[in-house]
Amino acid sequence: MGDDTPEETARIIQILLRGYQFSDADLFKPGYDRWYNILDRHFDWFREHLSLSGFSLRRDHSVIFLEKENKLLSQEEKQIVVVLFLLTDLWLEKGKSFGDLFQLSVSWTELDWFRDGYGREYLGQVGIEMGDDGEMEQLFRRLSNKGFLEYSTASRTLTLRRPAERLINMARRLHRQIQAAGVDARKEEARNHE
Amino acid sequence: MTLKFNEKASSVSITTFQGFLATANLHQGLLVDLCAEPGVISRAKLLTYMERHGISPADKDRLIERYCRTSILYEEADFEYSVNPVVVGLVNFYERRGRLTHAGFLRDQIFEIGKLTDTLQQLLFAELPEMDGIIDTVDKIYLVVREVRESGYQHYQACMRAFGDMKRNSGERPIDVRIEELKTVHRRYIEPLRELIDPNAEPVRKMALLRRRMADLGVDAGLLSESVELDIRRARLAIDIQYIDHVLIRHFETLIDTSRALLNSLLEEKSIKDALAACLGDLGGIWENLTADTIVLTGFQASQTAGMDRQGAFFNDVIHGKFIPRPRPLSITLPKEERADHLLLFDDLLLSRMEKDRRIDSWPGFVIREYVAYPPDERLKAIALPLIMANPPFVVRMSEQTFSGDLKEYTVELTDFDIVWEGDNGR
Repeated sequence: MGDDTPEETARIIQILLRGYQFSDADLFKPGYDRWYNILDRHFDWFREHLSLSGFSLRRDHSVIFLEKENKLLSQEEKQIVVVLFLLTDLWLEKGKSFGDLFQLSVSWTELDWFRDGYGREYLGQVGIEMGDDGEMEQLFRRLSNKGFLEYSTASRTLTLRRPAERLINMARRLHRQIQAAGVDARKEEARNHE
Repeated sequence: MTLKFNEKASSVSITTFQGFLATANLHQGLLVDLCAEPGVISRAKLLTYMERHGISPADKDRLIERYCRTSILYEEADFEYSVNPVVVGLVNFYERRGRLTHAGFLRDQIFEIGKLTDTLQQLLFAELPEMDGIIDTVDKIYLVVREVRESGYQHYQACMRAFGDMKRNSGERPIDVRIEELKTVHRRYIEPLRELIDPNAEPVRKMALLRRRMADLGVDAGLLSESVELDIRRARLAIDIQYIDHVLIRHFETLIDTSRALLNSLLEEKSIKDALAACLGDLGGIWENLTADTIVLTGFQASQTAGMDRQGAFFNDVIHGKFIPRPRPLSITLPKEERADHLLLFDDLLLSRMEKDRRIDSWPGFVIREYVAYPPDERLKAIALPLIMANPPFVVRMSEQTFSGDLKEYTVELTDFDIVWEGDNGR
């Protein structure tokens, strides 16, 4: 890649700066397939040049995104984590397969989001109140701009994409960390008793 | 079976083939269900099936009697029935259902083949080969091999169908139950197949031995020319052996692989489900552990970004090192309440200042000096504005010198430039 393709380079950088996360799911998205291929093939070039202006480009398997500078979790990020985790949990609870979340048009409104003592509490903790479909829909639409999912406003359905999978898979690591922390805490407690 | 059939037929009444077809046509769904039932069917079960297929209680007895008369059902004992195996074979063939066979049965049959192969060997290499004995043995082998072929294939179909059902009808059932079910199927019907395809195990060696004996028989032209019958049977047997070697073994491998893949994906799902539920239950814990990850980048609004070409040029400057911001770690200060006009440097404000002054030397320095009350981010944006603005009413004159300035949070270093206002002429 040289100076003869500055528009595409700039376009890719612009999309990254808007917070879009590229992934191999883009291979099926017209226009984006080309950009993903360029970015994937010249990842080091992009990383070095973006780092000159203070951005750090990262890749996690096929997902390529700009690292956030300030790692303090925003309310929106918390909402994203809870909503995606809960979506997957409720979907699997219905006996559906994990893979289908990434292939079918999932009618999210049919899921039991605000069940007492479960989803309702979790959503409440991140400021999504009982029955606030509108806010969740807004969130899904914002996520679709970031490459996390496809959203159809007409049918109110969504299909997850690779960046969402990356986030959902973090649950396994978090689960282990929380468990480890629990074990440590118990050991600590036992030591204090002695 | 045949004996019983004759007994029944003579004791009741002989139905025509037409009658059989008409009866079989009556309740096809019911018949398909009955054929899927392995072994003996109790009367109670039979009645339940009829219930399910909407047969009125008054008609049930008559239908059972009619099934028995047409030899679709055999009355094995009082209130116990079995379905005519010919019907079962036909229905299952066309329904592509298959029937589960215990792998142990297949193994026993293969050992039986091995025994018969030994007999064949003795007969073939006897000083005076005995034609009748050879034909009989080949015939016996043929029957057993055919049985292995058929039940093996049925087993394959039944297992595949079971997997399909599991995938399709998994709704509403918790994942643990599904894992248990699959594990049971795997242990009972799939795992034992491994022995049948293991090249070092007895069954495979027995089949190899049979192939060798068949080859021996094939080269013995004298023996074959003596009997057309033997030749036909040999050819028939060879087809089945070939089928077992090439198709059935591969089917069994597929079964083992499919079962393992299915189990893995279920276990995978279970692990993610458990992890999700645990994480949701401890949101506080997640926030603590998510401190090193990027969830989303808030990004710039489309309205804040400049036009494509300008932005491209700007980033080219960045890329080629003409403009080097030196980021320092951000220090976070809590927001104070401030008047809005001291927080944001609007483009209008900057433009009106340019218009008033007509000419501003060293724009970056000017911005830093003049707008000292504004946050560093805003001043940085103001410095960059002339470089990225579309259709500016002013001219940017690049100078030879390099400008460097301090913006508290960044050090800025770039080629210095002046602004000359052109007003409406510039557009």
